[in-house]
Amino acid sequence: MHGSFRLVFVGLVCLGWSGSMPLAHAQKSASAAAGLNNAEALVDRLVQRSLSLRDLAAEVQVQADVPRVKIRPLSATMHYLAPDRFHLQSPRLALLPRQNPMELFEFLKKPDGYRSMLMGEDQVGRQRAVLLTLLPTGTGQDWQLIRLWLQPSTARILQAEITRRSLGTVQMQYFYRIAIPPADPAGLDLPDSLLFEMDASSLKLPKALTADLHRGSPKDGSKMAQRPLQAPDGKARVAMGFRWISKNQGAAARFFKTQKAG
Amino acid sequence: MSTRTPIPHYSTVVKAVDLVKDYGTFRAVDGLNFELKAGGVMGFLGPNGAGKSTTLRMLVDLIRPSRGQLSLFGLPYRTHRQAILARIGCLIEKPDFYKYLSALQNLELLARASGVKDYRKRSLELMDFVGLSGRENDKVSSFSHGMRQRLGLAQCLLHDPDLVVLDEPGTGLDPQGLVDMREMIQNLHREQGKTILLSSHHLSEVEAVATDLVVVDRGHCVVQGSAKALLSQSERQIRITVGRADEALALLNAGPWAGRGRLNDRGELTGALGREEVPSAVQFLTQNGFEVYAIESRQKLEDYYMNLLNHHPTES
Amino acid sequence: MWWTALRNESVKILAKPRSYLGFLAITLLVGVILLALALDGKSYIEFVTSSLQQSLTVEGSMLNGYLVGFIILQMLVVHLPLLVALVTGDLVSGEAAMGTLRNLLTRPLSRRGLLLSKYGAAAVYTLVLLLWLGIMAVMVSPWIFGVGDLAVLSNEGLQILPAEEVLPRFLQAFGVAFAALYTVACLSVTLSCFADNSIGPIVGTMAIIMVFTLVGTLDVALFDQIRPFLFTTHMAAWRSLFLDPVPWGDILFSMVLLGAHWVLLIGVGLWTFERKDILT
Repeated sequence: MHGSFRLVFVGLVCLGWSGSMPLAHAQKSASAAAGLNNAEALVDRLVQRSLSLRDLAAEVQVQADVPRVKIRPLSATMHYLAPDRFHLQSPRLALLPRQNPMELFEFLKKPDGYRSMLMGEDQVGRQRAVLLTLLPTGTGQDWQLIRLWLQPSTARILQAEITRRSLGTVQMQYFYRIAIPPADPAGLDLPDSLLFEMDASSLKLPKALTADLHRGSPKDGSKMAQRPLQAPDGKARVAMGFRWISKNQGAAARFFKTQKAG
Repeated sequence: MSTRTPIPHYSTVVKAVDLVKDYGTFRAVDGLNFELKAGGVMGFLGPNGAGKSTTLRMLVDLIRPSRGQLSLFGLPYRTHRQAILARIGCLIEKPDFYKYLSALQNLELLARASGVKDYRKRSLELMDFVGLSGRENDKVSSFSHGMRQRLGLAQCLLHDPDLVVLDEPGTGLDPQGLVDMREMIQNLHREQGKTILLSSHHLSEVEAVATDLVVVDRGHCVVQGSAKALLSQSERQIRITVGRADEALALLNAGPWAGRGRLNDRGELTGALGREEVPSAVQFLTQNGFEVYAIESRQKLEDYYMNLLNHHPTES
Repeated sequence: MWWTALRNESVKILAKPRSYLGFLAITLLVGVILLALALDGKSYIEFVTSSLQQSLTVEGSMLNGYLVGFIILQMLVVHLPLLVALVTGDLVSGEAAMGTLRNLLTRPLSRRGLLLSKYGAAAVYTLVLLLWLGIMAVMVSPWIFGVGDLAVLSNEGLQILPAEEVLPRFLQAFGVAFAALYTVACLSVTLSCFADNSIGPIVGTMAIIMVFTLVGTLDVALFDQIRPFLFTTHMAAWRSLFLDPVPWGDILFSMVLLGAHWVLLIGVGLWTFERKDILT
């Protein structure tokens, strides 16, 4: 992760959320003995969890770190209604990944649409993970390849890498405040924050209509030297910190109904 | 009325000493000296290009002299500009106003600039004085030249000046307008006791009102003095209305009156003759076959002026 | 007396039909821009963000009143000098041509006071013209398009400023734009002191702006030393108020430099006018 951004992001989430348990990858699961060590079992757990997601509302803090774009962190309200309705209600302009946070769950809900393969073990941060690869079975699909790094004992998603024809490759890192996921295999196990990382090396913005006097023109002297917005590594990052305020309580359904009526 | 800085008693309103104005290499005014006493009406005369307008502009500080001293009301311009200008009203050349403003708005604006407190009342008074009542709200662009001249006179009286400088106030006026303008000037002098400096090519108008005269030519002062004294000093002009005036002039020039006569711009034979010479001159003409219709003996400013300029060519 | 003279100058400017040309032009131009953006503003936004939208999506409307206001300012501030010079370039020379300067200068008011009242009137006119542009840009646009965060395209990229910060920035930007435009006004009034017709100072002002702009634009090493000291270089300083963080030091430098131009130009104007022979 881009160091300084991660620091700011972690600080932001810690300050913003009152229940101040340190944010980190979940530590060693106490239920490691459960031993979900084959692909089918892992997928089955993921499908159960995904199916339990029907209606969600959350307060979300968004922080975007995109090359040549400067936008301040903001608070918004997110609504998700299964199967595919997602909306971020924000009083301000928000920059979000085109890959919305709930789309992966939608994909996972239909195990007939992909094949799964266990690709061995890996590390996510300091945590051991199993790498599960999902390959869509249909032809001409937008989804190309999904790689999931899962907590071996609980099938909790620690990291995902999604390659889609329309969006390219997006990497998502999942952060949880509670180390142990719900015991119920079908229980909701939602991340407290998500970090999206995308390739932005081809990002281009048109030149400003008028040159800025005090910034940017290369021919200006030191006084007016170019000072880029950030020092990007060619990646765009969007961090989303959630405070789940309503899970399967119909809040999103009410919201979308109101929106439709409006 | 305006608030003015008090100044000491003065008897000389204008005093110009060796006044010089150069425009590059051209000298428009060349060592001009003259004085204007309080309460007088000075006719300021001279041919075109004599330096009259330049001098008048120097009097109201539109132009700064290159050399010499100019004091008004006993005060030098350099140190008392505002106090002097508070006592001068002027109409320099043609009257120009803001065409997009009404006559009253123009006067009010200039009255405010002159420090007149009750500017509206004063403006209306003067509109009435110059005979423009009822036209207050008309745009100046709709005014005839004569009306603008009247408005020009009104604007120079806004702050009740002690000295009124009028440069060609009769230009473009019809005969009635000229009479009205003359009466207004006389009124200013006699009724309101103002000192007036009047420059005009209408010599009959100047003659009617002037108490003093200054004649300038090529930047010099040719003559200065009381109008009455100057006109009485000079030879009387005899105007003879005669048939074939040009032939008559040629005959006179060939005889004993050589160089004494001339033709005026109306083709009349005029000359400066002594009273005792008139019968013999008439006899000489009739004996030579000319018919004499009228003989007029007079002393007019126009003749004096023309005679003066003809006989006192200044060196350049 | 100076206030009376200022009042007189303001009365004249108010009564002169030419004074309203600027307001009319601004209204028409803003109307055209508003119409164009109302009809096709989304295409403009898509053009700006098309690359961004390959992997990211913008939630909320970028095309809002503040952005439209910013675009209006950006497009029109460059034209305002002409509208300002059209009136201020006429303040002395126009009166000289009309002959009314004679009437004014024979009043018991110092030449310095009279000319300073004209510089004052030029400031009032410039301010009112800019306020009109401000009303059209920052009040009418939000009324039509609504308000929201302002996305500003700068040399560094896209900066999104929170809506609550935008109005104060606009106000400050108008202050800086006023400083720049008043420099133009001072220039044209000063040139006006040298001329006896109104065309000369107006054309002269525009010519100086064009030459200085050219000098400021050409990438020639010779001009590098003088570029920061040309007032035209600082005409766009107002845009810096929409950078984040605001480069206050640089803006202060621009303001000081523009202020120095005022002092210099007014000084030259006074020196000339005090000695000017009024021959018209």
